Amino acid sequence: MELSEIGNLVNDLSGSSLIQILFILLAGWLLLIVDQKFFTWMASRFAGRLRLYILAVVPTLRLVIIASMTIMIITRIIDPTLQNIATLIGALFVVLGFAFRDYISSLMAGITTLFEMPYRHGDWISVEGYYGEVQSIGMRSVRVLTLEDSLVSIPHLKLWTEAMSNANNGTPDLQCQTDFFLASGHDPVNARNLFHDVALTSPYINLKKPLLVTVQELPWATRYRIKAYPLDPRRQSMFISDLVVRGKTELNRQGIAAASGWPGQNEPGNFA
Amino acid sequence: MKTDTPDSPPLWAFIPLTEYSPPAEPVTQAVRKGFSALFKRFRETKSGESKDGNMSLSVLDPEERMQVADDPDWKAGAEALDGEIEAWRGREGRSDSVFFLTGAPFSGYQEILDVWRKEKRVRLIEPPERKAILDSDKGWLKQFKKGKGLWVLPRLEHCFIRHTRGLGLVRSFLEEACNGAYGEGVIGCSGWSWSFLQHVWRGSHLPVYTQHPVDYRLLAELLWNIASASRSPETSNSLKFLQADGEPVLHYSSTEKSVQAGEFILKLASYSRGNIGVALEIWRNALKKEENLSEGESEIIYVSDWDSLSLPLLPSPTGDNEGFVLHALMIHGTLSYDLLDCLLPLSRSGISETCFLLEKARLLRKEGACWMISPPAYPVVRTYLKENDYLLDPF
Repeated sequence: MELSEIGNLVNDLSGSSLIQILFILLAGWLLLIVDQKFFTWMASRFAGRLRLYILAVVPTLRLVIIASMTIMIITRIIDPTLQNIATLIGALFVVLGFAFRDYISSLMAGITTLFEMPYRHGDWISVEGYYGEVQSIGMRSVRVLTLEDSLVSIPHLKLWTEAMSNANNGTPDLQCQTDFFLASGHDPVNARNLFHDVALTSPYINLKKPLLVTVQELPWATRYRIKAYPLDPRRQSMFISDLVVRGKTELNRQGIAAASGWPGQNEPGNFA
Repeated sequence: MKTDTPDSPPLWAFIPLTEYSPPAEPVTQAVRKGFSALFKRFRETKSGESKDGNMSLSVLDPEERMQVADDPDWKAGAEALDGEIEAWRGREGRSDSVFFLTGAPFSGYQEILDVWRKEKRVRLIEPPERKAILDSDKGWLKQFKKGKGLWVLPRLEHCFIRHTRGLGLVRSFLEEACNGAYGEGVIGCSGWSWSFLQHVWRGSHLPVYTQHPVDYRLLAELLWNIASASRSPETSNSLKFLQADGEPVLHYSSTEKSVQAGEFILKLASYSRGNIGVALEIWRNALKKEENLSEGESEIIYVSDWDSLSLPLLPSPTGDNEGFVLHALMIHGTLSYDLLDCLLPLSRSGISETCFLLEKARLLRKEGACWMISPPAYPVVRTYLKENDYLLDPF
């Protein structure tokens, strides 16, 4: 395609058209900010499913705003025939694709997230060792607030190449696992019942969801794993802390010993 | 609104819990409540302004208030309960040995059970001491085997603590009682505790009974019965409950020969979810009289406009601490500082601060050394706990 052909597609841009395009960009930018801030603020006033439903509006509305902006701008630059649009988009992709390969890839992945929804606002995801709650989904990256209160920005590009886990997948139900390792010589039935009651009596637990205690014999200990759901996924670390504190208190009171070591603990560099 | 329709159920009736459904809420009231709840999330709500117009009204003094809005006569309820229990005892082929009565806090089931026990002189089982609960001391269970005949344990919620060590005793008790080891008995338990205990103990299927839901018709009948109880039949029919603008709230129509209820009663029944104790408390606070009225002229009692009632609201923002305290109190009924400290993962000062904040918001009330939910706050607390996914009662 000759550059002159592409040049012929473009209308003569008058001053008023340029002002209109600038106005569309400015209005779109403002709307995107309002979309992000307003619905996030509104969601913070609610809990549970309603909070997630409100957060789900953000990316959908963003897609609508961006699509509307693109259409409005294109119709001001070229005659919006099918042939003209196809030619222009093709040319743009060739030029921009080379210049901003990674950036474009992230943008494309960002658009893909709107349809595939591998993560949504309020989801708890783990990507490349970063685990946290999705705070915002931008065009290029997703922002995750970790349990250590750090805000991590992860490019959508990672969606193509990295494994990603989503703990609650658009619902307020997030299972927490809390492990206790006990030395041999204890009564396993009593221990399992004890951990069941530890979870049952936690004020953080969501009793509408299943509560399970699994037991596994390891070469160096018996592992008891409490699988339960907190009332609010944002309280997961508090929930686990509460289970650990009250579990250990009861173990100490009953004189049940925790496993004291694990294979290879004294090997250099093993701090597990 | 006429209150006695041919299909009206009796005021005092008990039904299996599986048949219970809360009284239906009028659509307009539901929409109004929904919008009101939504707006409350985004702004501080001011308490209602008085719409008493030009009339100078004053609140009733406690004596006057009790004359027209005293506690109901629980004896009628106790008779209905007795009928249900006797029917259960006489049922052929019955395999269960325990009659289980549950209800919402303040709904009156406990008072009815107490009156029934005294009338029938049924053996009372007191709840165990806190130490016995925490130590799972089986000594408390021995008293069930001592005597023969029917026994009643009216407060099962006082027989356990939501603590790692606080569930063993109630588990043993329910296991034995439901297996028939203690003979025939009646257990009373709040709906909140029962919801929790179903996660603690999953034994045999129990016949669980509860009061029939009280809709606006039954509530109007109850309020009218209470108001007219202290008057002679001639004077009681001239009693009228009106709003300041003359709108009738509750009165007896001699032409219709029935009690007529206004919009206020409809709203009261809906707001209180048919809970007698909650409705009565709000009703008492809404009653007013004309100032400077001489004796003998009190044929008209004024009722505040519904929108001007100052009903308790949750403090904004409401966080985990408030939720934990409120839910613990719902499950246990009443709790002291010591017990709250034992149950919740909060500091003692945090518990103290939270309790006083909730007391200031009129959500909690102190009874001796213990905290409890205040009856008018019960609906708003229940709604909050529901919205935040806490385990609820079946009512």
